[in-house]
Amino acid sequence: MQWIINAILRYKNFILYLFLLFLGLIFSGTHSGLHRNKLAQTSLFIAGVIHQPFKDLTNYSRLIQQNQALLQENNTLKNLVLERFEQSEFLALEETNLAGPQFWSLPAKVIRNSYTRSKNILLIDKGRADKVAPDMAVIGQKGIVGIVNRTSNGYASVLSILNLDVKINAKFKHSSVFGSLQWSGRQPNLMRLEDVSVINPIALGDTLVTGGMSAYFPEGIPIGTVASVDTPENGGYYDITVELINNLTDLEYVYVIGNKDRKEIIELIDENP
Amino acid sequence: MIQYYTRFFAFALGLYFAQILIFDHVNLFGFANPAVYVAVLLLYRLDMDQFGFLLLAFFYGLLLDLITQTAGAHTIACLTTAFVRPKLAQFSFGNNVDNPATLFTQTLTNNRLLYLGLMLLIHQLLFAFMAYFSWQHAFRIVLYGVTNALFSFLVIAPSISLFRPKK
Repeated sequence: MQWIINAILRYKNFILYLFLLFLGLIFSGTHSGLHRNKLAQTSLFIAGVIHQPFKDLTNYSRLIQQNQALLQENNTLKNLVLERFEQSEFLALEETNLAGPQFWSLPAKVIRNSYTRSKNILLIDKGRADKVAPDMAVIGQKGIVGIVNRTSNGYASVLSILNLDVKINAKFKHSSVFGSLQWSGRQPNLMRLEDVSVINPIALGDTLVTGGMSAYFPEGIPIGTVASVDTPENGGYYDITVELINNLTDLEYVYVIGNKDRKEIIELIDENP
Repeated sequence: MIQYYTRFFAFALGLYFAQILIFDHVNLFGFANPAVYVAVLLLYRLDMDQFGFLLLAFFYGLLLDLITQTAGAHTIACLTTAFVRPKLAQFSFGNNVDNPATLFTQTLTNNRLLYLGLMLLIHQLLFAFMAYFSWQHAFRIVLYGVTNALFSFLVIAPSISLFRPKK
């Protein structure tokens, strides 16, 4: 017995290291229950409280630039409204919601944005109190940004599309060719489109939008354009690089998109796995 | 001793906020950020209890992970760097390691730079490995680890020289 105690005392630092390393590895397995619950919510709250004042300060120095961006966005939206009025003069203004009646949107301020890591995450200043829930889509001024991951009362963390774990269903705007979009971990403006068969004609500059084949994003939200296409010699699938339309390294405001039918869709998916 | 701990915790807290509010937003070449907080692991006195130091490194890393949402990468990098620190110090300073009070002030600059470089390299490679956690990205792990270590070295090295008393 004595020798066991002596050994523990002698190797106590090594034993402590192994124990803490084990805890660290559990913590890094982000899908564990412990991580997703109290600890995650507390960290989200603390991160929000710490970054909010700093972001407010830096935002103030960028007001002119932000005004310009908002003016441009307003202009784009106005053009879309006018376009829809031309299509149907009886269309009521409140029905010109871009996302359609199935979806609703909520503006949010980005208080932290990472884009230099392998699994990038954004923090936004809207949370459960604003009806933001996990798995909601987040879009920027020009295109998609990410998916809500966790929420606390006043804040939410968003899995950026610049995250090696995120795959987005995408399709070409002018055809019904679908593919799977994933970040390759390199530049923050380039992504890879997979699962597009070589039997489909693809050209440089083709526009990609969200495919709508998942409960996350509404169909037709812009993603980017084809920057390069590699065709394998023995057929199969293209290796396509997509240049994002949204600059994810410079985000100040985003929109959270809620899907009113999401619960129904998830229930159906769960019933028919 | 209480005075040392008070000063050290104030120093650690200062570097913690400097890291998350300033140095995490540098993004040199689009990805490189200096890890100035590693100075906490570097400068903790070597004659202090290693058991307590491991706990300190673990919780310091954990606090960084909670704020930066990096899920364990900081925790494991800080903990392992703290664990191998005595060996690295022995390798870098040789017999001088037996006199920790003057380790950062009265040793050769080359020894201190070697110690700093090795600590940063191990920490940053581990951090990049935990962040990617895939051999598929081995090249990126090495590139990010070495670049960040070098960048951190350039920021921390002149600061450590400041601790040297004027003769």
